[in-house]
Amino acid sequence: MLSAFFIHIAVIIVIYAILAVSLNVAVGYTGLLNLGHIAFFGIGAYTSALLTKNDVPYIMALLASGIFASVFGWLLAKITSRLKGDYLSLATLGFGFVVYAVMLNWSKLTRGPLGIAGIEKPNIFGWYLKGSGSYLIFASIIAAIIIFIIYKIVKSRYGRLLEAVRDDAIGAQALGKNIYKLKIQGLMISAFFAGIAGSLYAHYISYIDPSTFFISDIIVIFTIVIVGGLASLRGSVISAIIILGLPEMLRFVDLPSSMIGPMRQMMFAVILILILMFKPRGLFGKIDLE
Amino acid sequence: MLEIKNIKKSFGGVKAIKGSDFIIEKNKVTALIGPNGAGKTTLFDIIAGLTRPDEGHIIFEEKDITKKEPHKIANLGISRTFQQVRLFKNLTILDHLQMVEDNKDMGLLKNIFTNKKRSDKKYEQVLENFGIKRTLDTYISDLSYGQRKLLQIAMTLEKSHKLLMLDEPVAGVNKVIQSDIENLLLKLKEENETILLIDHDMEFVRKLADHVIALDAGVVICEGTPDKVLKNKKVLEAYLGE
Amino acid sequence: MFFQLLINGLIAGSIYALIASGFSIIYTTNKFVHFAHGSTATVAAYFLYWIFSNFGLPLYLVFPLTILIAALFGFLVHLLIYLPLKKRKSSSVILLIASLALMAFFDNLMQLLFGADVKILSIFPHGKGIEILGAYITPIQIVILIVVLLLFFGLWAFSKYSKLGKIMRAVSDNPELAKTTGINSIRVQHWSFVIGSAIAGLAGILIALEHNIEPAMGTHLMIQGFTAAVIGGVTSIPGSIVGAYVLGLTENFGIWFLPSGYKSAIAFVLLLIFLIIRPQGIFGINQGNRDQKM
Repeated sequence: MLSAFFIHIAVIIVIYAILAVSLNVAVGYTGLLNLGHIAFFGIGAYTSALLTKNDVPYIMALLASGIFASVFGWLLAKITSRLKGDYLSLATLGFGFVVYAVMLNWSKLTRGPLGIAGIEKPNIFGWYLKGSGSYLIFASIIAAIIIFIIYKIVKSRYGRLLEAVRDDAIGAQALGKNIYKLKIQGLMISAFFAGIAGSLYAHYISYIDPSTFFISDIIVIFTIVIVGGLASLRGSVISAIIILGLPEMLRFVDLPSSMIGPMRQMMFAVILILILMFKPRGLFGKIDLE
Repeated sequence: MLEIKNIKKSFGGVKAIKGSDFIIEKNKVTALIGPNGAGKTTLFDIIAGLTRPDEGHIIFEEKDITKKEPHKIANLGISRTFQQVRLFKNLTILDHLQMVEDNKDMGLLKNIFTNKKRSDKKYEQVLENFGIKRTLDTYISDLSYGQRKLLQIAMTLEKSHKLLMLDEPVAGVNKVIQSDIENLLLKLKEENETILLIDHDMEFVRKLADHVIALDAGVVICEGTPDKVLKNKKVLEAYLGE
Repeated sequence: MFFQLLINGLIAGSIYALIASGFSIIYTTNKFVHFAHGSTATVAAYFLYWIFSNFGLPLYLVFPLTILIAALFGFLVHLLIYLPLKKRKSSSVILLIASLALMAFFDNLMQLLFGADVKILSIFPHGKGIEILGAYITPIQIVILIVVLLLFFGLWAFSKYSKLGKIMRAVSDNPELAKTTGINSIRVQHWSFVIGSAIAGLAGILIALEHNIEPAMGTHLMIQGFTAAVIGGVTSIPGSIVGAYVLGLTENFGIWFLPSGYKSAIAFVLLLIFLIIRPQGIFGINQGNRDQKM
């Protein structure tokens, strides 16, 4: 019983680690403070759930969720390409809310607030991931691949360019680098992997509804990324374990379950404010949030 | 090589450039002088595409580049420095030198899976040529101001270019680095580089420039040989009248 | 139908205007987005609910007390959270993230203390209302319209004639200059939080009377209040009030064309449009919120 509980937490941590690492590509490496990242997660989850409901093979649906999310990443980058600072963040927040509102109201497609139930467990070329244990193995493999690819990207010369855009976009332009293209691609990469994380989530929980992807849930992901440190992949992963693992201690205190939810959210908010106040570079970060 | 045609620009009602016309000739050093606020840097930004003029045209090698994006202008061969250095503070010297080498880093997929060997030798040579006594792995945030200024000039020169635009290359550096940079510029002149320069040191301008353009309050008040311009009454007034 | 939508739009606009004007007062002197401003209204509404259901205090005491609590709440948030961050030279983006965290904190705190269910405050019974030109308007709605009009007149007089109002305008126009002329800008910022939050407290009361109370109400309110401020130009208080009515009317007339569920999405679509096409709003001035050129 206890071990089933730990496996559940582990799967959630793996999924959020992907989400945090992918957000770090946009915020930490490219310098795009995207407050609408949760929307890509949601788009991925819905894409995968709806496709498999319509008999699309799981692996295809998984890939499609990443691709579809990154199409939205392209869209968001396009419409906000000239904004910066507060205004960029607020526009991305707005984007997150519009996506949420569409999920909630396009009932014909998403079944609105009722959500989509009975999302099937993945079947990958005969490997049927029925139990949580096998799902943990599968999700961990995917996470490892994603983190490896992102690591390769950020350590490459291309990754350096993303960082150049973050540090001084005009300076990068003067060197002949197309910063608009780089910003768009940075956000698309970030969205792609968030979409994959969404698919992993949907097929694990097997039920999704819009409330999971409301903008207030962006706090958790931001807490993970900032506590881990901007532009640190290792930081994001370790931080996901700490930030999501810690509140689980609440379960061992005798509290009614209706209190645990809000208390978790409050803990995330408090941690985020404290880290901004006392250690804004986080545990492993080398750059400042500006 | 570069033609500035009737450029006008105002910021929120304040006219910064009130119709400038001049030509930068190939293989010549042209100096842009004038008191602070004369519009020199604004003009640089307009040429580089960072600021869009309200009126007028910029013609580079017979092509109208007025509405081109900054990176496209840079890739046409206009290489510039900024008065306030614009480097990437969380990256290393090596990263910077690699960036100016070519634009192959723009390809995402090509870069992820190909691990090209670092050719440190070449880059170390650049550092030596410009007198930057630091290792390639040094972060920009650890460099002194003078070193940053040198690195920026090094990058501007290393980048393939036809026209160099230098915005106060010696402002804010110590005497030693100042004379290093000035010697470097004299050498560039000998090598027949095309240079557009903003500088305040009139003695040095007299030594380096083939052609001087004096700007005041957004208009060209005088242009010609250094001797002619630096003796011009209006120019002297503009400077002393500050 | 037309008049009903018009009235509904004006009522909604009035409430958004309360949030937006308080938000703008804080923004103009502090220059960062205080998203937790919506939580101030939530806290006020729950305080009103708590004090009304537990103590038999008369209403003429309950309402001012609620506004006072809201003002104190805003002051404390500024003193304990934002000021330490500002002293660290945190950018406005960090303050924005902190304000989102604050909002999440208080939404969840209210849920923890009062439960997730909707609370109904039955101070005044919801009557059928008075009929005007085939549209219905309830007494509370009339009160809302009058109170809001009075408040705006007060705000206008305050900023035009009072010393503090003039100082606030000076700080908002040019913080650096204001500092050199000896204005204590931190004190002015404190005052802007007090005044802005008091107005949010008033909004909390009116919403509690007109609608219901629930933990996430502040977030939704803030989305609309903020959108209103952006439409009008965040740096202009009259602008944000006009923006609020533009939003309220658009939302309500919008349901002629769209399913009613999209009502809240209208706010964000307008927000996106304004942020992208005209970030300085209808009345604001462009303050370098986007890249040069283009």
